[in-house]
This record gives sequence, structure tokens and C-alpha cells, in this order.
Amino acid sequence: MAPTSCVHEERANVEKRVIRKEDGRYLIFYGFDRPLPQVTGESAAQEAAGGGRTGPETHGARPEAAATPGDVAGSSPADLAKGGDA
Amino acid sequence: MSEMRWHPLLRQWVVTATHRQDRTYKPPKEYCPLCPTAPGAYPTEVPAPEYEIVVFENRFPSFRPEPPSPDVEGTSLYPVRPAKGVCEVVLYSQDHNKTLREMPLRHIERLVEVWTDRYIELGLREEIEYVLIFENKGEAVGVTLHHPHGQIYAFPFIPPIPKAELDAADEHRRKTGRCVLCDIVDEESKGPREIWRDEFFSAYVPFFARYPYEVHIAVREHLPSLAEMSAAHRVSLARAIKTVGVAYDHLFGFSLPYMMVMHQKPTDGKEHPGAHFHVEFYPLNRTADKLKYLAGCESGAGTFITDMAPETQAQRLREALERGKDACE
Repeated sequence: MAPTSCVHEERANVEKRVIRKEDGRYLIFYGFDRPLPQVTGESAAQEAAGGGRTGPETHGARPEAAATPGDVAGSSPADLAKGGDA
Repeated sequence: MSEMRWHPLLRQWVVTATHRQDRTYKPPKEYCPLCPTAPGAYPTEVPAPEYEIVVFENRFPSFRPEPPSPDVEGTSLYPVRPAKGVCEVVLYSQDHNKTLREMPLRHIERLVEVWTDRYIELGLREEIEYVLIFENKGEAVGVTLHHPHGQIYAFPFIPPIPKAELDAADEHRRKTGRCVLCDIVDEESKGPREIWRDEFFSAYVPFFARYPYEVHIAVREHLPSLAEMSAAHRVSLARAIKTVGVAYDHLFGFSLPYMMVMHQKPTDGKEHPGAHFHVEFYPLNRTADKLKYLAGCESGAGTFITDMAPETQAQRLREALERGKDACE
């Protein structure tokens, strides 16, 4: 699912970026050795706080990016490739 | 439907989460939802072409930050509450095939940092009383996605097993003035059940092992949670986890399925002086081709029957570790 908002945080040895998916769920990238990856479909800056739901703690975080449409429901391969759970 | 129903006989909550019945089930590798999104390919859970470690909210959560109202009305006999909490998925790496123990030690250290960050951040939430970090590995324990990952459940209550441990720790402290886990670590370091230790952590088959080849990794000083650990502790914990994984994978010659859970201090704002960080591993294989089932006595009475002495299990794990020692680095 495409992200709808993004915040960015750096610590001494870890970089952390929080993005917001279209369905409201957050996703956090942790980076140690490499720069954080470019999020697929990043195109326009968007205030994370404007997204509606309150996200995880992001003190000092910098709202950053982006949105693309994307998620679908059903039993197609696209839907099969979603839905992380154990 | 997603709600907590009270079990008045066992005095514990049962979470009813009917939407989980439809969760993604063993997709083929090319449709793995936990791999990075390849350019031009169907989007996965991770909208990036690569990543080191990722955490995201479970799409099929048992608890959620804004749960729906319960479908049924509670009564004094049967209280019902919304299942308010958080369920996260932790993607250990972008490599679909590499298990936790196969990852470089440095990467596991970073995973420990991520677990620490999640424990602290989720524990700060007002409604969260307990953060359970765990991994289900292998189909034998019910894994539905093969990409190496763990989970975190942020509970709105202290779940029964950690609660029982904390109550026991309180009682032991009242009687002896000491921490029960500190006493256990001391005891296991003297005896035939220890399989590994360094300055900071000890790994052993406990005297009271319930599962076949059950191993506990405990911090040797009295530290209640990941949040109190130094960088040196985190390095040591990573090494302990890798070492136990190496022993397991050389026990029968295949990647051993297990459950791994971390028990630590609740985040309900209370003191909990008896909390002592430790990790518990529960494999299910009692032999290479026979599983231990939680059958009538275990499920119905709560009493585990084990088929092998913990001392024998520890000996076999030490031998397996010796066979795989080159894989520990």
C-alpha cells in the first residue's frame, strides 16, 4: 500500500523514518549502514500531522513525503502480496 | 469482530479477532508481502526497493489503537472490552531466505536496538501495560508467512504468563529478599543445564523445562527490560540469540522451528521490582520427526509432561553447538 505521509528522525547510530500508509497504518524504516531507501511513489511533501490519526512518537522528526494510490482488495496477486502477518 | 472477552473461570482475557481468519496464508515467494517492492512489481507491505529493518502495524491485528466497539454487550458475568492496543510486525531483513541466526551478528545487534526502541515507544502509550516481543519460526508453530520476521503485541493488560512470573517474583522477594530470576541464573550457572554464557547473559535449559529443548536466555545482572541495557548488553544479547539458534539448527540438521518470547518489565507505570529481562525459546520437536503436542494434560490441566530430562537436552544442545561453532560468528 502506498504511503500517505512520512516523518524522519536521526539518532547517533540509527536513522528512522515513519511513513503513513493509506489505510492509516504506520511503517517505520530503520537505517544503520545505508541511507534510508527512497519510498516508492514519493512525490509530494505532506505534513504527517495532517493525516488524521496520531502516529508514534516522533520527537524532532521532520515530516517529509509522499503519496501514491495503490491498495486493492480481493484475491488477485496484488492482494496476495499484501497483508503482512505471521 | 475484535474484542476482549473475560474468562471468569481462568480469570483472564480472551481476544476474539474474527478478521484474522482471512489473513494471508503461505503465499509463494514471488508474492511475499514482506519483501521489498521491486521496481514495476506489485506493491508489497514495504514501499521501497530495499530496506535494512522495518516495523509496521499488522494488517490483521488482534489489538488496534482505535478498536471497534465490541459486537456483544458485556455483563457482570461476562465483561467485554474493546481490544485496544497495538500489533506490529518486525521485518528482520529484506532477505527472504535468511533466518535470524543466519544473519550477521552485527545485524542482530541492530535488531536488538530496534526491539529496544519499540519497547520504549509502545510502552510510553497510556493504554499499554505490557509489550511482548516474540517470534514464531517455522510452519510447525503456525507461521503463515515465511519471510523472517517477528511480532510485537502491545497489550492493554499484563498477560497471564508474565503476570504469574511477576507474582512469583514478588513472593520470592518477600520470602528471601532476592530476585527469583537472579537466583535461577546463579543456580543454572553451576549446573549441567547451562549451554552458553558470557559476561552479561546466560543461556540454559531450565530445571523446569516444559517444551523439548526449551532454552532461556537471561541477563546475569538484575535488569528489568531492554531499556536499561547498555550497548555491551545488546551486543551480548545478540550473540546469545545467535548462539542458541546455531545450537538449534545443528541439533537435528535442519532449521528448527520455535517460538521465542521476551519477558520484561510491564509498562503500566508500576515498580515491578521482580521484573528481570529474559528470553524464552519453545521448540516443538522432541525428535527430528516427532513433535510435542500440547494435548489433554498440557491444554486441559496446565501441567506439562516432558519426555526427556532437561540435563540430557542441555547436553545435546552443547554438542550441537560444538558441531556448529563456526557458524556463531
